[in-house]
Amino acid sequence: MKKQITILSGILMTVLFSLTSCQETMVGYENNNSSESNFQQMWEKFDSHYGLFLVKNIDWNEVYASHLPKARAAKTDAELFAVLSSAVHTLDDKHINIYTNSKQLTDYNSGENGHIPAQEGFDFKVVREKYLTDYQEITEDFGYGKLTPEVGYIHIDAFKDKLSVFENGMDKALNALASTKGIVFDIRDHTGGSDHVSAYIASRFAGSRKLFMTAKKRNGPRHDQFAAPVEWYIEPTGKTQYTKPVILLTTSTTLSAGETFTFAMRENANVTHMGTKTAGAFSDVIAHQLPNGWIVTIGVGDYRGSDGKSYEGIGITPKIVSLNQKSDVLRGVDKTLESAIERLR
Amino acid sequence: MKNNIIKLCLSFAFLLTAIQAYSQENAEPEPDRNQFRIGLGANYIKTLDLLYSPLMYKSLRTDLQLGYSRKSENGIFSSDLNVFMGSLKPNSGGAVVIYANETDIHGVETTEDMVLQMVQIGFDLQVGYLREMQQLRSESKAIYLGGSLEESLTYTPGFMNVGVINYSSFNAKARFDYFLKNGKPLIFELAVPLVSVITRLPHHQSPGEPGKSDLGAFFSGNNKVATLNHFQNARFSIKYPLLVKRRIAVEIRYEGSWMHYYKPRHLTQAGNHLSLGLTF
Repeated sequence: MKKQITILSGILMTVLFSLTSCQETMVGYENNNSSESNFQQMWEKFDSHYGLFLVKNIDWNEVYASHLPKARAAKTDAELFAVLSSAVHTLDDKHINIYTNSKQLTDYNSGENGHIPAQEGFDFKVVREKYLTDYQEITEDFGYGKLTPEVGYIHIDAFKDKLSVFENGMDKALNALASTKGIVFDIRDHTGGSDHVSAYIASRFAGSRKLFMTAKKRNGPRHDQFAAPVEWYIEPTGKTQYTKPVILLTTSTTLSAGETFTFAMRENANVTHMGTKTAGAFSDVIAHQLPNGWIVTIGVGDYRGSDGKSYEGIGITPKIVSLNQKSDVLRGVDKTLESAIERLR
Repeated sequence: MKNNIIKLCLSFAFLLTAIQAYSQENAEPEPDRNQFRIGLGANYIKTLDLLYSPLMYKSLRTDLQLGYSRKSENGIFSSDLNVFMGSLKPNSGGAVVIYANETDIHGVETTEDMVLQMVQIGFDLQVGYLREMQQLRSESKAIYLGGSLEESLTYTPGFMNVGVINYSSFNAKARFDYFLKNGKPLIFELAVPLVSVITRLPHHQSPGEPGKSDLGAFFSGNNKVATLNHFQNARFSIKYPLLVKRRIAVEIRYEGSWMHYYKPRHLTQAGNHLSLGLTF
């Protein structure tokens, strides 16, 4: 019997391996990895999915016509990278990235026209070490503490975790800070995440239901083809709402869901927006791989504030503008934070 | 393609002959009216999902199968659940690695590598009935025809959702039992969906709505009815009981599959599934 099992298993494995050899044919796989094909695929994906051609008044066909000859002439990865970067630079969008599989080329950000630069006006380490007491870290992206006995502090640098993490975390934070006179909500290094979390957390500071954003996403090949707009609201949510004064701090690094959160928080009457203008890249982003394995990210939506205006490529300007100097941050001083504390005392 | 079909036919013919040659004559299967099955398997799948990439991906899914069947004079009722998980990698190599340049406040530049670890999880649930074609029955063969209702979800969380699809199908099924000289059946099955409700990501690939979970948004407004001309999911299987002892059998099963759907961009998969099951 053992012999029989062995032989049968062997036969089946042979069948299996012979069939796996024809799998590529069965899925109709063929990959053209020429420079022209990589450019073509990237251009087509943006053409069918990018949500801001009309908002930014971009002639994408002209970009095709001007870059195709360069793509055809590109002989090396570096040359192709330059052509693709130049093409997406016309969109001037901080949500658009080209990630390569080359350690030398690394990545390109359209809005920065190069690598994403260092953040110079904010360092959370400075806040943590010089200003905060009773700091409680809920996740690596989310924590709270006190700046003075009367001023609370919440810091979130991404909305990447599940909503339940933020539900539980906000319950803890607002319980701990319930007796304060005000809270500084710091999203100066916020890199984005889920808009559901934006709506939820802003709703923990809400006194009434208000529209904060409308979002529509591409649903067809034409640049003006969008699914029906979706309205996003804040409304009093959770066990308690904090309706005492809140100062929301942003910088030009505050991006994506950090910005939709800014939209939402600004609708609350008790929230004052302070710092510097946000990045100006709001939309949901998708990833697409090119034939050479590189990955491009594409914003698929057209997001508007409650006033119906698009702030893509512009950013949201704070009510109180305050810009930290790099030299201050390097010596452990956060003047914007100090100013916010004074306003809440 | 023609060569592949010939290859497939020859392989099965070879398998059939070999099984006959090595079968034991004294191992008579005792058909039970109620049967439960627990199985473990491995499914090697090639996926081409043009929604995310022109590159082909491969995955080796391991799965757990639970089944119940009831055999009557006229036919077989069966229900099967298959839960699976497996990593997804480019066909040409290991995990997807991309690089990004980062600079800190002191001006120090570093190159960060990001490894995209993709994992597919999902399940497949089928409930079906096969009626025996009595007029075609003989000592060496039995033929069944029928159908099944199937619900299947494949989900790839993360940055690139390659291969995400849900389908609820009404399948046409056929089964052919060929009784070997040892009395054991060699069971062939073929299933093809006649009509299905397919859920794929929407055109913008980013389902997210206020008040709905990601899964809830995925199933909202993205469901399309498709017939055989738009959704193809052919599966051919062959099953053989290796060991039969009273009411317990150990069986080996091979299934070849090919699936294709065309919206919003083409998704094509081909799989080879091998499993061992304990029936009692």
